[in-house]
Amino acid sequence: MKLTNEHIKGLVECMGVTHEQELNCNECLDLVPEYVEQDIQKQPIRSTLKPVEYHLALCKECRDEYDTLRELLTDTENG
Amino acid sequence: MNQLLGDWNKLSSPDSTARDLALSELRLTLVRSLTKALGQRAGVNEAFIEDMVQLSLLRILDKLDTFQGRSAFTTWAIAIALRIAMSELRRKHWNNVSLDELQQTNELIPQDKASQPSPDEASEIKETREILLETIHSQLNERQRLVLLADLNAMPHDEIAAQLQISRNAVYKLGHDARKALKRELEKAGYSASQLLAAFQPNSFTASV
Repeated sequence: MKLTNEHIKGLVECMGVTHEQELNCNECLDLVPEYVEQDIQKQPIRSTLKPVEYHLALCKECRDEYDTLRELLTDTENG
Repeated sequence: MNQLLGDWNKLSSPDSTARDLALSELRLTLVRSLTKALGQRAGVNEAFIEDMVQLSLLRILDKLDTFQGRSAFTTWAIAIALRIAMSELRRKHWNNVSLDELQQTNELIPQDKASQPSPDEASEIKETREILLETIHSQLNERQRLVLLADLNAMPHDEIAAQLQISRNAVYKLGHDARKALKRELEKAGYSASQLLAAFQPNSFTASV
């Protein structure tokens, strides 16, 4: 496999959002319900939930699950 | 706990009739939610939804003590069900791709051994490639390299976890440790992510000619 410019760019983008301490997928899932409700209600996200944002920026599986949950709850809220 | 569960407190009731009724209501909520959220996706049918709801109910009941009431109970329960169902869908999609094969056919090699980089490539990008390859080969262990390789090929962590027989959390940690090592080495060389991303902008290529 060639380490193409696209790969390098992708890796560098990941570096930009890499933190020394990060939530793992289960820790993220524990906080997602609270985070998604604040997000949908357009409330300011509490600082203790910031790590969720960092994890969602890096983990495509958790991001996909989050987006699906958010869409479902938004649709439900809008009737 | 019962207070936190609100109307769902009967899920932990000693009265089996009340508990079964609450369970039946939760089951219906999950069936509706998964059908609405995933019903249009390939591989999703009534039997799949039913299986995923059963697995979800078991997981939710198992974790009931950990519910802290910081969100609606249904939000918490649906998030768990979506994790289970979407993990399974990803695994079904990827289960014919073996990590071993990926490793054998996708050795991370310098791009310039396979094709020459563009002559007007920014010097930062050339150096970044060298640092990344050097770090990948000298500082990452085999599993960290494998997760990085699988990530570059968009293989989901659920499938990597299943093939390596470790948890998705463990896969995430391998990737995190790999990213930290790469970031550390780039910073040692004086590069920040934002500076390097700027080098990928088309104008930077022009400027570097």
